[in-house]
Amino acid sequence: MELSIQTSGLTKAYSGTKVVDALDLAVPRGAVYGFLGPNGAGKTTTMKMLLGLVRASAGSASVLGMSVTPRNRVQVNARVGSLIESPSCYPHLTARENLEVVRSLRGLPKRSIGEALATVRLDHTGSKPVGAFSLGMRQRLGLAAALMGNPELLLLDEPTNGLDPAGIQEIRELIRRLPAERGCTVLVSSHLLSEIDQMSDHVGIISHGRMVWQGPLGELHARARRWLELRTTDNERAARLLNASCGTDGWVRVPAVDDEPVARMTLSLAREGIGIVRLEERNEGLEGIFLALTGSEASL
Amino acid sequence: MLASTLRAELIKLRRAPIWIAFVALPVVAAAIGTFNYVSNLAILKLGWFDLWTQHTLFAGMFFLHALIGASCSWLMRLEHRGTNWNLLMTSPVGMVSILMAKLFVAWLMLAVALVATGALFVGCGKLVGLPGLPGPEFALWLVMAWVGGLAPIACQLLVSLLVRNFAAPVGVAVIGGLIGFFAHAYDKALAWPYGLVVVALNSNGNGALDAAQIVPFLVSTALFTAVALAAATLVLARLDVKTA
Repeated sequence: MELSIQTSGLTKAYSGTKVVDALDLAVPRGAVYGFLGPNGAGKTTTMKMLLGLVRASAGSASVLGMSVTPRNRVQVNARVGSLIESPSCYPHLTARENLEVVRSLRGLPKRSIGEALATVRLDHTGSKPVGAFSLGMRQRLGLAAALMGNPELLLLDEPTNGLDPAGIQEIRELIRRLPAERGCTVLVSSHLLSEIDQMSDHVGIISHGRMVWQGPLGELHARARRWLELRTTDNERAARLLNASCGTDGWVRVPAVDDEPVARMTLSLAREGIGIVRLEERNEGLEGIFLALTGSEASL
Repeated sequence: MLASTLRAELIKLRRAPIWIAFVALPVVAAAIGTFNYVSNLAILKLGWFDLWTQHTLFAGMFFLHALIGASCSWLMRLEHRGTNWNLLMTSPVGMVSILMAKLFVAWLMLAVALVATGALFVGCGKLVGLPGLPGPEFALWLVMAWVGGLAPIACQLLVSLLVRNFAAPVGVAVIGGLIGFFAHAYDKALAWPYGLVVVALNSNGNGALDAAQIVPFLVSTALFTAVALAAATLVLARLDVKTA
């Protein structure tokens, strides 16, 4: 598997306190990699180290096959787009002028400004200075700047911050499409489980600066505990018969979910004259896995 | 790389509020200078030369260095705001280019201030009824002040890189200019970066730079500029990027 980002024992300490602790990150090429962790887990610091904004205390990082070192900074930056912490902007300039600054710094053609503005739907803002923009509009501008020049790798730190629900949906769709449409790899951080679940195909979970799990999203879902919940014409008798628990909410919970045990269960209930009214499969979801892995409270 | 960074810096100057200072301060300096000249006509008999010393006395000692401090503070504060250092430092441009572009833009702004100083000098001279036009030496002094201005600009960029506050570096520039004025009085202006503009302007009438002083003046300017730029590059390279 070709990796766009790889770190080995990446560590950052401030006054002896490790903010990122021996992190081994592996982001496959062409993936939307969700970097998930509670607030203060070390996501932003990791991304800053990958961009050379913060110097690592120990370990190494490689981005698009190049070591992240001061010597390689310019070459790495030419192929990477980023939105870290909050959008960078000059408030006395318009959106177009702000992107002109980015275009100049990156040596891009003039048309790249119009394309970027249209992508994030800011092409109507005209002569309005960015200082008068809402938080959501600034976030869109930051995304436009990150997307300019079709970078091979995008590092997006909580990119849907400040957006309204429609905007969140729109940006999520945009990020999901990026690998197919632009051949781009995306590392996107969030503390929102649902967001990562809907956007990513690979996930890394970081807690207290340490990677606690990483891999394909499907594998993470496969770790989730699953069970069946059923309502019958006689719940108490059904629970005794199936050796299952009966909740006060009137649902009988059965741990088995595979086809054969379910078939046996339904037959035995039918033999006893107990009718099944409803049957649903449930799982603990990412929230439960996240809680188990990080031992912290999940954000939903 | 430098050209693209410079273009980016020039875009940031559009509608920049700092231009207000570049209009206001030369006008204030000219107004004070002209008032002094008119009030002391009994002892100031040398026409254009005396008007020049009155105009540039305050400009060289105080106003021009305040403007240098303000422009450098503003140029660095643009990046200190929010996460703007992230944008610059994740762009495919070298750190030296970033600093050189800011140096050049501040130097350009100093040129605007000096052109305004020259224009106001001529305008005020005609207003108070001085005959003819001032000689070419005055223009030469302005050009030399522009050249020497590189050194305090480089120093101020370093100060403003380290101090995120706007006003404190301006204070440093003003104090630097005052020390430069006294250094010139003791013939030590070339040994102090903030003395170079003062000596080039001949603002206290002690005598303009002569041919023998030109080379030491240029060497001093180049040396202070290079040292301050190297120190600023080292700061950018060695320290983690901090955001507000």
